[in-house]
Amino acid sequence: MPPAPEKARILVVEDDAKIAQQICVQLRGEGFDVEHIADGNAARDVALDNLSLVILDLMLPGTYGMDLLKLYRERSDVPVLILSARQDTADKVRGLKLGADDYLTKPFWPEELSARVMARLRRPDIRESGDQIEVGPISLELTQREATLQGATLELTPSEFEILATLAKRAGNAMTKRKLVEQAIPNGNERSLDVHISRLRKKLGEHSALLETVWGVGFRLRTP
Amino acid sequence: MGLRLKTGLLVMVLLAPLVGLLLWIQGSTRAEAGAYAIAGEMRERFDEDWVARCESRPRFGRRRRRFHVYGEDFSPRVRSDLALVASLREQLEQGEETAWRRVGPGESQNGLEVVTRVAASGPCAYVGVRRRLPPPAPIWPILMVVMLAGLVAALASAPLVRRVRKLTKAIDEAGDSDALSQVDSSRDELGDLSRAFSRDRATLRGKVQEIAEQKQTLQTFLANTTHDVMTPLTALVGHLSSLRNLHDEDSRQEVQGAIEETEYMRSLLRNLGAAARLDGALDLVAEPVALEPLVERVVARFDALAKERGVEVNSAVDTGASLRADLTLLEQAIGNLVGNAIRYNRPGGHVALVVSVDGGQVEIRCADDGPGVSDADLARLGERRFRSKEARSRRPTGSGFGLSIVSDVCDRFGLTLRFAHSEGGGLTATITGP
Repeated sequence: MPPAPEKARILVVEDDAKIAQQICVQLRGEGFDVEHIADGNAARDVALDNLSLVILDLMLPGTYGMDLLKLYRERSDVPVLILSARQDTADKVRGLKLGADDYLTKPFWPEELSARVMARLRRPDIRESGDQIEVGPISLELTQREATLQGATLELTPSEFEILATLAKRAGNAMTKRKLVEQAIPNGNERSLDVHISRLRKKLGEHSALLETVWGVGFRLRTP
Repeated sequence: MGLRLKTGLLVMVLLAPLVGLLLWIQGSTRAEAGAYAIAGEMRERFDEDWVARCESRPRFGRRRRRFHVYGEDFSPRVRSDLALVASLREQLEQGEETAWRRVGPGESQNGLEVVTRVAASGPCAYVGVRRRLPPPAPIWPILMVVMLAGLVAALASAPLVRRVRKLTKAIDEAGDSDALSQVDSSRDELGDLSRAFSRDRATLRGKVQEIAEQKQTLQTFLANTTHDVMTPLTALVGHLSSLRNLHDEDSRQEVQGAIEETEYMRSLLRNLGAAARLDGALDLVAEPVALEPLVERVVARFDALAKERGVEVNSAVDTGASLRADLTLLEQAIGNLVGNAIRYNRPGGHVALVVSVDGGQVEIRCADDGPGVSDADLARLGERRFRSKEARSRRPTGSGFGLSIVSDVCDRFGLTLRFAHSEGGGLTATITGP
């Protein structure tokens, strides 16, 4: 689990004491600054500035969670993750329409909550400034079409550069072969893609493991 | 065939034996009646004068005679005549004035031989003649009467038929309403039928409503119970997860077992909830569902299970992919596919969840490189309650139930579910939709 981004503050609005405690302990353990409010009415007046994320239980006593969500949305654009113990889709759809960013259905494993929280707070692992992308030791100049590996220039064919750049733009995520061909080598096919990938790996040398084959999907440029 | 036609035909059919009986009686009495009529004529013709003449002058000339004369002792008056037939003679000996029998060429016997007494005694006491049987009475008037009776019956049944039709129309028109708008109020069997039907209908409707209410109550109960169980289960899952991180080797296996059971319970509960939704306990929502976050949620949900089983789960979603469906149900359906792909895999195995958009068509493909299923099982995968033999022999992870939910969800939202073998073994499930 990567460290929590710059001590993010998370507000947990949950009336069930046990679950609230578990969530708080877990998130604190992961390095977040966690504030907990059990009462819906008290949650109305909470200050939303400086909050990185709100975890909101939809089934709150007092002010119904949905009203709270509406209220928060009027005052701030802080990401809101709603918790629902209901199989009722209308609730979730309404929550999402009211501006909730994501939802989680009870019961959930702590890992699920972490994954959802991290997805909301994720700082990109890739640094993309203007036309430059950096993924670990790889650096790509999009305009000049120059690639360097740990500062040393990588001699790439135009196709190889496009494939690497396309993967780098979505580094950490797997891309299907079909999509990769479509976006990087429109005149090629999946077979020629495999050839380009194996050449790219050779050129990456000891870092060739960064260019992963993802079973059943395609390829992924791993983030460090 | 209408009721009227049937009534008419029925009357005719019922009359048929009666007609037969009449014809038979007529047939059997025709000969006797004819014989006595002939005897009467003979007594008028062979009067005393004729007898006197016969006694004095036994010959009757050469012209062909149409009668035979017998004496008191039944001997022929003319020697060349044949003797009187024994059966007739017996009748006369018993004191009958007239004796007769049927005669004729072959079997037809359409002739009569009649012998009657014309004198008290003497050689010319009896005279016998042979005549044709009078023709039978014609049969067509009887048939006419029968057909007429049928017609009358058909016409007479018209008011009854009208009432039955009215009752049928009232039942048809009643539709879903409680009782019949028009009830036949007559005090007869049709009126009784109409009233009984109306009563029955109200009772039945009450029963149906009662059952519908019971079903609704049960489904709401199921939905609520599922919800109520979710909260403590969330806490339980949290506790177990904390326990897992305590690194006590002795208890680790026990905790792992508890986690597995809890995970099973959780998936069962979610599927029960989904089943209740599908059965109409709650309103379904058909809204565009963004597939990117949905796939993220599903993968995160199975992250712990996958790690524990040593199965790698990967996903890729085309940007902006969405499908019109019920969010909860679609997530449950895709979750069931991914869950099965992980559970029925082997350590070091892979699961790939790929969502791609091609034109307007969305394809959700869940593939694994596990042991897969046999060709026979492949064909039956979508069936409710199906679980392959191999899978059954392992832990009861409820995959049959899970797959039937997937197939029901697809049906409900017009999506197509297909199963195929993955390349190099394993199972690939594909959901496609507009």
